[in-house]
Amino acid sequence: MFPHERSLVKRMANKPFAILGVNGDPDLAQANKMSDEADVSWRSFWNGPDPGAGIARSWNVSGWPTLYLIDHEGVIRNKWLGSPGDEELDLAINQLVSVAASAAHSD
Amino acid sequence: MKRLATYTLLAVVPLLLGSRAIVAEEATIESIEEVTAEKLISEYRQHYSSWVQKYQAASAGEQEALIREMPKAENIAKDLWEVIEANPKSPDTLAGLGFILGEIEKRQTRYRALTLLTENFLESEDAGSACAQLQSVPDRRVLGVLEAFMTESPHRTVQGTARFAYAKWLQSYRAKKSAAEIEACLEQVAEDYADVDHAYRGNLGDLAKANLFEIRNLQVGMKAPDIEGKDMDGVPFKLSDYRGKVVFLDYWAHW
Repeated sequence: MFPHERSLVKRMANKPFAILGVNGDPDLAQANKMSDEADVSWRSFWNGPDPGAGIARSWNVSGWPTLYLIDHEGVIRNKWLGSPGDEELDLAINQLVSVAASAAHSD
Repeated sequence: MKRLATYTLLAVVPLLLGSRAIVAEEATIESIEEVTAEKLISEYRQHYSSWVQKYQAASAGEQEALIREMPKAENIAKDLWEVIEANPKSPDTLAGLGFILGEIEKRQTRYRALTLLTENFLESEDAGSACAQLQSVPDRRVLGVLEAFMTESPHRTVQGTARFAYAKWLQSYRAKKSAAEIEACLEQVAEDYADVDHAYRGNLGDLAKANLFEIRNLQVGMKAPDIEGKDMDGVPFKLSDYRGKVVFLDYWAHW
């Protein structure tokens, strides 16, 4: 999963796009150490010590990863339990980013 | 059910025969041990996890051959049924039925297990975890079984767990057709069984409310509810700070 996210960060630099995480690791210090090693550069909420509580509980997350794609107006456009594969993700993301980019130009 | 457990002991017995002689004796000890469903299941799980380790360590070529050796839940079905039939009402049988329903996908086997579950455990206080397991069994006869536990079990924990599993089953297999029924069912769980502990996680009130929240606020086409929290450096921020950008929201972990 991470290589795809790293490539997205690179490919989408300067475009109206952001990866935001909700990190479910119970140990924050350990998670930060592993994030440094794995070159995780995107910003994440930390869910807290219990992955069954916090933000994940209020969003009813039943498995990790759970993925949401939200458009530039804040509307949910896709959701997946488990990754559907890089290709499907890229397709959905590209479509929404080009809509967001043209909306930004017409403002 | 009993089975013969054979231990081979290699006893090296030094005997003084003349000046020097060592005799190695092999002795076989046989004993009878009680076989339980729990034991069969844990042996199967151990067997399975060591197979997974072996598979992950193998080369691509070896993996092809290993696939054929993958342990299957069906392999212990015959022994499980023998144990179950010997003690059809014991708590151990309940564990066996839970395993069969969760892991074995044969129609006939499932039918037998569902029938036995209803016939022998409708009054049982421990039937909750079997009911919880039914939520992911893709067989429509599950609905009838859960209905029986919802209405006829004398225990609130079992009634509530069965009702929650009923809603989750509909969500998995009939989401569109049963949308109204799912919401009504979850509302009733939140109202009548909020304090009941779920077999696996949390209490039913929180679970039902979280499911209702997802149905009402987290569907495709709905405005995403805001998230407020702290990032991994402790700095507060909000999901809505990113309005104007497409956001790929990823619930992830290193584990």
